[in-house]
This record gives sequence, structure tokens and C-alpha cells, in this order.
Amino acid sequence: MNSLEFYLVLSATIFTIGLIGFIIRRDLIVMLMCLEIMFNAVNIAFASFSYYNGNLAGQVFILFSIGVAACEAAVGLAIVLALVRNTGINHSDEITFLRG
Amino acid sequence: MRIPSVPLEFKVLMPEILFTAFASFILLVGLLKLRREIILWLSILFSLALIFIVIQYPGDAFGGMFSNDFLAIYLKIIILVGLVLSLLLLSSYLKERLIALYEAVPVALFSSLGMMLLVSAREFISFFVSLELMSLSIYVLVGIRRYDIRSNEAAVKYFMLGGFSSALMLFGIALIYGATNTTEFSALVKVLSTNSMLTLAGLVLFIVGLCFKIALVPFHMWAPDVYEGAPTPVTAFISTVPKIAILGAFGRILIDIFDKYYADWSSFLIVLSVLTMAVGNLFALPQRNIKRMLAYSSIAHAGYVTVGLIVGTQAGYNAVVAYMLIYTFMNIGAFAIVIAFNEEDIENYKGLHKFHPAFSLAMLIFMFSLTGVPPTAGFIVKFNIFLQAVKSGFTWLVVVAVIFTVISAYYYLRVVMYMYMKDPIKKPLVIVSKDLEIAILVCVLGSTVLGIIPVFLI
Repeated sequence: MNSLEFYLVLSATIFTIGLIGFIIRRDLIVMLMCLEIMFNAVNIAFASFSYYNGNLAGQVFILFSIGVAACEAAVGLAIVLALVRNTGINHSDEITFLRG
Repeated sequence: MRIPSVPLEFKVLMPEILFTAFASFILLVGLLKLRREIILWLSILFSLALIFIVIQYPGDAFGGMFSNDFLAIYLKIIILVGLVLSLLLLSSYLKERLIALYEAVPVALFSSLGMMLLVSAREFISFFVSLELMSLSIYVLVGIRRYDIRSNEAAVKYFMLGGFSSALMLFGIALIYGATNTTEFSALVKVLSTNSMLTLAGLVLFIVGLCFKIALVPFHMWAPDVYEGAPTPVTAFISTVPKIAILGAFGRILIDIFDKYYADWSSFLIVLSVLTMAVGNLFALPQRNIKRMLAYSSIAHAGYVTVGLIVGTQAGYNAVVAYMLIYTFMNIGAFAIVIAFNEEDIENYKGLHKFHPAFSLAMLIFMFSLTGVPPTAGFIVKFNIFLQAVKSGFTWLVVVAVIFTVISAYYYLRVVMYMYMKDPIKKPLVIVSKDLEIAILVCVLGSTVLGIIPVFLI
């Protein structure tokens, strides 16, 4: 049986992997995947807190968080698809139509 | 396990339930190819009616997890007024560019629904879900011109950074939940211990989420591009209405619940506030595109508003809410004029008062109000925020804010100077429609009458 700390470290590690991936990768689809990794890492934190503290609110939160992450993926893919259809670009450092 | 019985009080949620039903109805009616005016005016009339419905249902629901108290009602009224003004702007703009109104209007309605739930949420799950309802609708709204690459780029940038900030904020909420073992705000206040590293780490991530959403420096990178690339009425909407909801909701959480951590979050926000005022105002100076200039100006205004939050008292919070009311009028008004003149380059504003004296006068009022010149409402509310800050001993912060206000006069008044004192370069192709004229008139009244008779300001 692992301790709470183990799961928190796991969650923080996965969150950091997602965060670093989001910052250094330039492919928009990979950036979307990194966002999903971050959301799922948070779910681990909620589940472990919920289990070790004996409170169900965290597990309810996970259900909502999964739902929100699914909506976010749907909207995100639609937006990226619209960009790729119009320009054929799917790298974040190549979209420079606005002065920035 | 015994489940305690809690009075549900569904009737407190009546405005939100009606709003959900109406937004879904508009989504379906869009399929019928009705005339666009019907959809638009139906939505506007319903939103106006909702202002009176919201007042009728004060109280708490779901055992205090949802509360419709005085401040929530006040914020909801500002949100609905902002929504109505934005819909008026949207109609005339989309007509010019042949964009389907029945796609844009329901999305705007759903986003306002998210904001209304957000300001009433007294519990982290509903707080997060309504925040995401608001944000996801806005991402779609920014990319509504889906054959325009500028709109696409703005939507992608907004979505990526918005999703990133949501993930950070969710992690913050998870840490706060882990430290306190509850998600209800009322229970949170009782169990919050004064110095727990877990809560503090959660709080920092939570505030970073807030800073991304209202574009405080250094989390403002998305704002200028998104505000420039989005369709102008959508820019008017996203630069005002979501900020009301987010500042209203986060401000209450910080002041009411995390008052034990006041020293920590206020020192964090002081640094960001000074940085925001500096970057927002200084970067607005060289801008040639008026939408980009107004984007930096809205970043700077987020800095002034944060001063009101830093005060950390109920009076400071009320000053913030009053500021957001007036800011809605003057900022939506300024964008309405940009839509009317149909011109983004500031150079082309030269000599416009010769062709359109009424619109130019309106722009003059909005620019004076955004600067904070005395007879306008922008002065009263800015003065109120600074007054509260001085009362709480933040005199140096107010001095900094006033210096940056003086700097901001340069780029606001440059537009006025171009319109009134330079010779015209070319005759503008003005879009004039009834909807736009009504919106501008309401904004002018809001930012002048409320300055002379500040009755509605709490």
C-alpha cells in the first residue's frame, strides 16, 4: 500500500511532464495532448486526496473535470482544424498573421 | 451512510434555468432560417427581461452552495447589460460580413450563462464548471469568422493559453481541496488553517489562473493578439463582460475566504498590479492599430482594478465592482465607434469630426472617460478605487497608479486630437445602423450620467 505522498508526487510529475511538453513542443495537436495530460494529472491528485482523506467530493470533482476536459478537447480540435484548413499550418511558431 | 437532507430551493436558480432554456431554444430556432432581426431582438428583449427576473429571486440554494445575494445580483445585472450592448454591436457587424447570426448569438448567451453561474457559485465544483462554460463559449466566439485566418489565429492562441491557465487553476483547486478536505466555501472558511504550505501552493496556482483570465502582466501575452484578431464586437465583449464575472467571483473568494492569507496574496498582486500598469500603458503608446491600443489599455485597466482587490476590504471590492460597471459602458462604447468608422488604423481617424460630429463627440466622451477626466463616470470610479487604497495605507501604490494614468492620457487623447485637430486623409465608409446607434447612445449615457449622478454605484 502506497502513501498519499507517493500519489501526489506521481500527480505532480505527470503535471510537470504535461506543462513542459506544452511549453517546448510546437505542434498544436501535441500541445492539446499535453493539456489533456495536465488535466488527468490533476484527476490523480483529486482521487488520492479523496481516498486518503475519506471525502467523496474529490471523486465527484473528477467526473466533472473529465467532462470539462472532453469539451475542451472538442472545442480545441475544432479551432485547430479551422486554422489548418485555412492555412495548412499546425505549428504554433508559424502562425504570425497578427503583429506580435 | 446517512445522507443529510438539504432544502434544494430550486426557485433561486429560476433566472439561470430560464436562461438555459432560452439559449437552447435560440440554438434550435436557428435551424428555421428565420429573419435575423427576430433572433436578435428576441435575445435582447429576453436579456432585458432577465434583469427584472434576477431581482425577484434572492436567496440561497443547495445548502449555501449557490447564493443569489445583493452583490451577485448586482454583478449579474452588469453582465446582462454588457451582453445586450454586445449583441447590438454583433448584429450590425455580422450583417456586413454575412456571418450567420444564429451561430454567434447562442454562444454569447451560453457564455453569459456561465458568468451568471460563476458569480453565484459558492462551491469549487460549480465554480470550475461555470468558469469553463464561460471560457469555452468565448473561444468559439473569438473564432466565429472561421474563414478568416486572423480570427483563427486569435482563437488558437486564446484557447491554448486559456486551457493552460484552466489546468493550472484546477491543480490549485486540487491542492486547496487536499489541504481542507472540502470544496464548499462556507466550510472552507472554518477549516482553513493559517499556515499550511499545501493551501499556499494551491492559492498561488489559483491566482495565476485568475491572472491569465484577466490578462495581468506577465500573463498577458495572449491579450493583444486575441483582441486584434477577434471580430471587433467579440473583442468588445471579451474585454469587458468576462472580466466583470471573473473579478467579481475571484475577488469574493480572495477577500471572504482567504482573508487569513491576505498578506501572501496581496503582496503577490501588488507586484503584478504595478507591472501590469507599467506594461499596459507603456506598450499602448506606440500602437498604430486602435484595437491593439485598446487591448493594451484594457490590460492597464486590469492593473487599476487590481489595486481595488489589493485593499482587501469590502469597500475596496465594491469599488472594483462599480469600476467594472462603468468600464463596461466606456470600453464597449469605444469599440462600437471603431465598428462604426470601420477603420483600425489610428492615422485614418484624422479629421473625422467634419464628417461625423456625433460619433466623434461620443468617441471623445469614451476616451476622456477611459483616461479618467473629471465630469465623466470614469473619473468617479477610478477616484473611488484610489480613495479606498489610500484609506488602507497604499499611498505609494496610488501615486504609481496616478502617474500611469497621466501617461495613459497621451494615447487616449491622441485619438481625440487626430479627430478634432487634424485635416482628414480620407472619407470613412461608415457603417450606420439603428442597433449600433442605440448601443452608442446607451454607452454615452452610462459614462456621463452616472458620472454626474452616481446613484447606481455601490
